[in-house]
Amino acid sequence: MNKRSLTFSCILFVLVSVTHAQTYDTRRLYFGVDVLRTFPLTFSRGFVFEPSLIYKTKDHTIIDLAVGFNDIRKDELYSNVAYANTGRYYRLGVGKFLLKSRKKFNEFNLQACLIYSDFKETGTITFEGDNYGDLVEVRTQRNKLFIVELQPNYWLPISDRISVNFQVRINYIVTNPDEKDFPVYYVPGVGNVQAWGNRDGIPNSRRVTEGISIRLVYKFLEL
Amino acid sequence: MKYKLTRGLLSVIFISCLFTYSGCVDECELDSEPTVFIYFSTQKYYRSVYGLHGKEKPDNQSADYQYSVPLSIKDDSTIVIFESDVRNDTLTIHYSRTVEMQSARCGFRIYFDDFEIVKPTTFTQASVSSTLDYSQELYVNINE
Repeated sequence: MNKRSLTFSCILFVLVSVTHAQTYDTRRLYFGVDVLRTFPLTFSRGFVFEPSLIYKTKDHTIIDLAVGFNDIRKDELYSNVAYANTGRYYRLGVGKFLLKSRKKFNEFNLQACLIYSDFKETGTITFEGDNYGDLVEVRTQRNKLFIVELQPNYWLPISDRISVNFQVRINYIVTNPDEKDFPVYYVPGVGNVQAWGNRDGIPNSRRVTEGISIRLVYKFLEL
Repeated sequence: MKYKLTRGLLSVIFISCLFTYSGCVDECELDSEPTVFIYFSTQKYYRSVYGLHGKEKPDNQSADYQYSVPLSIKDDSTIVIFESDVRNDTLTIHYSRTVEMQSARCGFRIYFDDFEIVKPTTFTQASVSSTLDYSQELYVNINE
């Protein structure tokens, strides 16, 4: 069994083995917007916009569909590289309520997601030449990656319609990225994938990453 | 006795550290323009020696065996102009440049290679070293 199928099997096993929750009276549709991703924690400027549509069945199965857009800049990625990343991503997730009985403040869920991320990275390398002028070189690489995500999350109800969804995200990049010019730094839908340490060697990107996110959710329909 | 031994040991460690750090060259500082040193077999007088299209144009230089000029990182060649009251000489150095990642700390670096003297050059007996040395310096010898 290869790594990819093992990862899928593990996620499926966790989902199937989750205890059945108490049912809702209705099915619900929510609209969500991620609020943490757009904070410039791993970049200097730009934006990440991730709206999502969430459907909850009566037995508390969650279907979560998100689309994300990003255009971010980091002025000094390495000592002489200005970095830009433009792209989009799609995330489809299926989740289940984790506890046996559903009460107001115990809405812990576990979701498995598949992410498709399509992005272009540009590194503008500048060498300063005091006498003859600067040498500027632009390197561009494009990647289309599949990522699997395991996402434990918690829904905190603020009112009858509004909730805050706290997420812990563990990602595994399934597709081999193209890193011919420089190591992949940021994968839209995943975040920073730069390896820790190794500052004196050529850095490489990580296949497994972890992160947190916060999403504001609005219930707009009950069926 | 024990005190003396400890003191001696600490002194050795301190001196070793001093030597280690004083001998370090920061590799990340090697991104600027390299320098070409031009040596003549006899003393020459040139009023001004400078790189074509460069900002620096020194004037009223004294007669010397050696002149130095920055090398262009922007182009694959640097043309050095030697101005005197009676004539102007020209030396063209051609080379290849490759931009490659060095490390996460230093980022990218330019690697120079294949240095050669090409036309237009007014000197007939000029030779150039094949690579830059560790401190980003290149040497040209002119035997005329």
